[in-house]
Amino acid sequence: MLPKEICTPDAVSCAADRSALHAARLMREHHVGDVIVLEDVESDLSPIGVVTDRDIVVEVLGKELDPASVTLRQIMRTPVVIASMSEDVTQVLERMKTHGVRRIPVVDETSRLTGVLSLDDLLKRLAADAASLAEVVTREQDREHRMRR
Amino acid sequence: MNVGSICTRRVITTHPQLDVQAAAELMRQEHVGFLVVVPEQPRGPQPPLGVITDRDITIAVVAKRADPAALKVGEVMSIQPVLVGEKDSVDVALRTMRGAGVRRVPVSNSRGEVVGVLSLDDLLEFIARQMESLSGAIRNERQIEGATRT
Repeated sequence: MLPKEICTPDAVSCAADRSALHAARLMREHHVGDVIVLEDVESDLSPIGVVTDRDIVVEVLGKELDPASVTLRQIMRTPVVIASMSEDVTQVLERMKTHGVRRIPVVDETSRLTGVLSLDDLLKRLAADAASLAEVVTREQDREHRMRR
Repeated sequence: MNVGSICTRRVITTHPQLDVQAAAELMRQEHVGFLVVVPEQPRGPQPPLGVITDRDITIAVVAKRADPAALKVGEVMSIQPVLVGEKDSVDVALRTMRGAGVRRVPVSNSRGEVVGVLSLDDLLEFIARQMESLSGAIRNERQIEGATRT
């Protein structure tokens, strides 16, 4: 399984010099809890950090700072932990575990941001696999019932 | 297995008159993203008035350019939060959270006092442990059969 098959493709991203206020507006508008920070949204699409809704509360309001004057560069989490769109998801899971991150930007061969893979995406996928396992058990019983009448 | 044995017992409470700025500072100090809102001077055990999350603050206060020092927790919190009882089974809690579409719920005791918080994270950990026990049973079955049927 590859990250590109299960990640959310349209990651919400923002330039590092924009404000925490701008990021909060993006989170509100796009119903997401994180924004991937890029050096520049036009010329350099490689992720350099991640800012979450929690970072805005804890690092800005919690320190009595003004969200309009704090830049994402000041509050983003670095170094950013990233996943390649074509590596195995098992490796990505290990990396998320090691670094204790719930969301990981996914990049292409040229390090450009192509999506974001979240713990929620992975949980849904693993739960679907577990449900399929249970289905195998049920169907095997049905099949035996039919075959051995 | 019931909710009381897997939930987090640490509950950080606040009250509706506190300003959002102070609530954010509380979240920072206590390393939590979820506060249970109770009356400032409760008269005996009573259910919480609401809950407020770090996300509520970002979306409903920061993004709207509202002044966090002028807004009160009571104006931003989600009211009448869904509760689960500490004696409820995990199944019941899962159904409740699924029905309401919430990741975190306050846990109350038989007198209605909030005694914990149950999160999706707690439940995931519980289910993962059960799955690990299942695969452990399979591994051990092989090992025991190998040892006893030589």
